Amino acid sequence: MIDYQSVSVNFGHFLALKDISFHVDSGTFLHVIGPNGSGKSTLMKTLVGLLKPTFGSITIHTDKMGYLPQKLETKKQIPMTVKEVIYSGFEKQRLSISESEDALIKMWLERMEIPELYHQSMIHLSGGQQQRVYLIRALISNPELLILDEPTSALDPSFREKFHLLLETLQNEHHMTIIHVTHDLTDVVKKNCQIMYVDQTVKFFGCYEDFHQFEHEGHQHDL
Amino acid sequence: MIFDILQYDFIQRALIIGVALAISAALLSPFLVLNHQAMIADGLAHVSFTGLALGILLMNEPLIISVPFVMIASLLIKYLSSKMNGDAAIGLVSAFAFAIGLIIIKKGAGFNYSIESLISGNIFTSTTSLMILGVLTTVFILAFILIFYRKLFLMTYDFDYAKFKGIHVQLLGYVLSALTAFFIAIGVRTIGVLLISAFVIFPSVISSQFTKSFMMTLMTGLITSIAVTIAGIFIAHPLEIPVGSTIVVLYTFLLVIMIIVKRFLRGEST
Repeated sequence: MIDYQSVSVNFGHFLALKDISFHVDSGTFLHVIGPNGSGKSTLMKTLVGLLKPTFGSITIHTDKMGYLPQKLETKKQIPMTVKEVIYSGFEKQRLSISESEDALIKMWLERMEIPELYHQSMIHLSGGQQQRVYLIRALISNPELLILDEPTSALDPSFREKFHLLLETLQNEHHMTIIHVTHDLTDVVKKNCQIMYVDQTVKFFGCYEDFHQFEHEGHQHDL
Repeated sequence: MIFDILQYDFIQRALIIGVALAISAALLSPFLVLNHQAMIADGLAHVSFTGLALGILLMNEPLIISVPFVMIASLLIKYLSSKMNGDAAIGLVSAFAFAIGLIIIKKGAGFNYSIESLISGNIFTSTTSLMILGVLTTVFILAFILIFYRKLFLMTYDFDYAKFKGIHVQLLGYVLSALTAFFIAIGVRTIGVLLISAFVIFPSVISSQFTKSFMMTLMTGLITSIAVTIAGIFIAHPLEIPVGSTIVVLYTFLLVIMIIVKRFLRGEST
């Protein structure tokens, strides 16, 4: 599904990512972790095509992708409804929203437990509510590859758990490949998931059990 | 009495071009104003001052020079905006162009056009060809917004996501700028250099006081823009005051009333 070969990203003299190579199979649930400023978000930007690598090559074998950015555009006070924002995630969009499209939007709002927000203006929503809306925007086109950059940062703990269950369902039922950037692995680790530890370069890539071993060896000091 | 003055050709032309400009401005408005690009209209108006001065000096129909001149400047502003702060790019291009314009007027042989008429414009002296160009501008802008509405909306509220979705954000951005330039170049002839940008800025600012959705903001802005422009023409003509100024004053009154009503309603609900 995804192939990175010797990918580096420089910002002037600053080396954000160095010689990144990895391979992700279709249907994988990959958690990407690493300290602040380790280049996780830069890595995600290269993955979704917002940033071109300075060196190396990236191959992605699908164009059906969903993406939840880490920094959401909330500074602009734009009058727009939840419905309008979710519709902008559809693959094909028309000037007027059809009934079936409308029903799909409502179904997802139910699934995310915010049906009452359908007609609401985005300006009046809390950070957590906005994040759920942007999650729907990423999911509604039924992507084959889903990229989530710290999706639960603004979600309250009770919904966080449901959200992880939802991701698991999507992975199992739709064979979705999920790349999930997170700070906290404790509540997300499921069987058969992969872990990538990034700090400018890939320090670890493998299954969770091996990662445990890697952590105990004290990877923080090998710089 | 209103029907009496409707029989004059110059009033009919003024109304047609006024409504055409009102529609164009209101259609462009949310995509510029809500995307922090309101001042591009102001910058381009300064550029078109020079475009018109050049045009008047070189040929009978100044728009033949000024329309492409402003369009090139708009593309330059768009290009520079990717290298530096957008406000700075607008300021640089418009100041340079305006400076050149003043030199042309001072030194241009046989420049006998009144600067005041350039600055304040005159909708009642609009020619038929200007009217046709005005209507054409509206048709182009309307077609562009109708076809690319969803893409433009996504670009306005989340530029990165639009890029991620594979929308040609650079190309659409350039076309939006070029159409804005087209509108400004025509508008400056009738409304004047200093006031034309208000046509773009007011509709969204006024409508977004009360609207919840982007589509409603666009539609309410459109209705407001047409109503205020028509009212402006009918008020300005008998009083013999400039139409552009009348429209801007009407817009300002309307905005102040909206803000007061909004405060009042919010005060009651809390």
